[in-house]
Amino acid sequence: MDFLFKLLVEPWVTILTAPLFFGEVVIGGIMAGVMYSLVALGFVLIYKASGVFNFAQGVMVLFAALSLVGLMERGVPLLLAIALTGVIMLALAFAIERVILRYMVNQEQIILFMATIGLTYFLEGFGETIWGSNVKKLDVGLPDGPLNVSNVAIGPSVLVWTFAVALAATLAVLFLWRMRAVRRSVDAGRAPALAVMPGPAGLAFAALGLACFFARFFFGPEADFIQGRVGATATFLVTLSWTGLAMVWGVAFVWLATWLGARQGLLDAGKDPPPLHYAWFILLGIVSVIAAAAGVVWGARSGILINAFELSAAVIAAILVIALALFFQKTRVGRALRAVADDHAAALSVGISLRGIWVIVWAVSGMVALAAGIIWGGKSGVQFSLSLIALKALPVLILGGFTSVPGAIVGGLIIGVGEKVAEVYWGPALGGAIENWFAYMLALVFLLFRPQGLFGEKIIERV
Amino acid sequence: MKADVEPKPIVAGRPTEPGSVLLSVENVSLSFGGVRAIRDVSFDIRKGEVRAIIGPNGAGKTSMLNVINGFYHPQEGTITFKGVRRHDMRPYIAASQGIARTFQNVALFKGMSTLDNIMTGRTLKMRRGLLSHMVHFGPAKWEEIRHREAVERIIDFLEIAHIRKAPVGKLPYGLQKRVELGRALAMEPELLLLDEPMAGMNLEEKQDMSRFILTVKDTFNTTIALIEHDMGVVMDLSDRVVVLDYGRKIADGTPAEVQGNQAVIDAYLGVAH
Repeated sequence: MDFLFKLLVEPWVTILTAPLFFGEVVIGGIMAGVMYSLVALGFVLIYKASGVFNFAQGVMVLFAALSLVGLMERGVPLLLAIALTGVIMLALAFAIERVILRYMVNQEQIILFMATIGLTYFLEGFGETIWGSNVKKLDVGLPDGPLNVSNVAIGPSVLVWTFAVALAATLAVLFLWRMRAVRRSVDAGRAPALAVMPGPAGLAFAALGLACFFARFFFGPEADFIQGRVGATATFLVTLSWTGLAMVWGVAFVWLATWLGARQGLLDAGKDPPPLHYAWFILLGIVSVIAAAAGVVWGARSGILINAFELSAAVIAAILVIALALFFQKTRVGRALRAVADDHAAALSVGISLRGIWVIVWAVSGMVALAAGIIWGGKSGVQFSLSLIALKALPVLILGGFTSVPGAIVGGLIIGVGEKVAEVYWGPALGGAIENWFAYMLALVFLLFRPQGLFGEKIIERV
Repeated sequence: MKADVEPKPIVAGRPTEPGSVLLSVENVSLSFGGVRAIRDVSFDIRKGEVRAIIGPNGAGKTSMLNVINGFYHPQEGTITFKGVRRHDMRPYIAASQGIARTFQNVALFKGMSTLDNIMTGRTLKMRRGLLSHMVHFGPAKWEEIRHREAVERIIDFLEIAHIRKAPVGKLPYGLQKRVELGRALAMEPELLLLDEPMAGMNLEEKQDMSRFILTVKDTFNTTIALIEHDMGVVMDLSDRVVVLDYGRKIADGTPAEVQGNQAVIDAYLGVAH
């Protein structure tokens, strides 16, 4: 009975009675998760391009960190050392292509996988032979210690204004973009003229929402809700809910406009319906970045401890992820990468150079390994165990899907937050050390119900 | 596509005057270990014609395409394409010089959409750098749009607009074959190698495919080398036929000539010993 209480009731009570502490745990989990994602990204890249699970990714992280530390120990200045390590990883990519992959064209994937196991042992020995095997400290000058924002000159109103302007701009772009499609469809006689009506209606609602939002700051008693005074917070929440309501109506109407007109019209003409979800992603992205920034400032001001080192790691990872997503989605090389992963012979027949692609992808994943090496090495020192974080990346990949860059991120976050929360709140009931196995159990559950992961490409098999 | 013109209705009759030699294969021999897949075969493909390669199973037809396309490197012989004589082809050179192909067992990028599959055919034609593509602005964007337009024309031509967003792995076989043809066409090839484009199709699908092949030949002036088992199709489509058996060339000529050739009849029906 006591056990059940500890397992089912007590954690929730603790969470609800100390929300600030819960926030702290979650933020810690997110930071750790971002770092898992960074390692997982390297795997995803190579898996996407060659359909091979690169066993050596963990060691590549170690190798990059070892090279960086080794260079710095020999007195090379930091930035130059990072650049040189980048060059080393590039050379490594060329060497791997020249010595291993070149002979693996059209081979079974399991053979490529075994080649990466060999590469693992080679790199491990090679790195330690050159740079030594003792534990080293890596200091790349990322800020450390608790984040201090009390002297940052960001007033709450500045945040609010930025937020509102970003929202308005996003909505305007969204509106103009969508309405063009509707108008085209009306012009072509495929949609009734009334189909344009929800557009202006939506815009009106959005304007109403913004007006509500700003009115609070023009006429409201004070704008420093971030300090957390009850009265102020309450007014803010009321304003926010009105604003939110109007916004929802606005967006819903804009959306309806395209649904009625453009989509059906374009479908009839055999053309793509406009990619609705992109607009939502842009909107969500901007809003959540601003919300996150506001959250960090608010959290730090109200006493949540945020580690500056982990925060900068998260920012680095975020930049990498955006760059990689663009790389895969928008470039012809990205398309070529996916093609190579699917079918070597077909890729060759359309003139894609396998060697070029492999060098590119190994070089890119080498760079990702370098970033991961800098961050993990800076956190826990450069030593052999660094290569074992690859094991933590495995459940992340199973969760997110082996082929998805965003999957690696979301998977990393889920694992990071999940294991921290489980450790802190359910640890006492289960005897602690949950962090060690939680990720793997989660992965196991996912394998049962969704083997391709959250974002993975559906496994298509024709029989 | 070579031209922006609407595909013409299929023209009856064939050009009687064959063009200059586009590709010639001379004394090619290919063996895998002790197995001799191709033995001393020579033939040529002239500009603008449909050249069929036929023969019983295991005659070396697909190996021949693989040699032309650069997948296999023959031990002996030379390949002359557009006047350049080579000992063997390389896939990259073949693709960049204008040789496109389809495969016997459809080789598409299964996880990608029809559109993306056909877009890969434009890979060699896209020139903007990586970085500008990532920013997706200005010249890189215009380039993408321009190529996308070309691809859309191919999609319309092949009548696969309704499946352009579908992952090709899920499509029925006949449609996959069409997408594969689309990918090859996107390369705007001078020489198109088709490896059994109609295998496993029903009559209607075969008629569609025949129509596409003839339109490609007539409208875009693409030279086509075709492997096919359906003799009716071969006789209807091709200008000249080369017949292989056990890796040897046993006949070469117009469909009518080949049809009456005793060696060909023996190869297909067997000879009494």
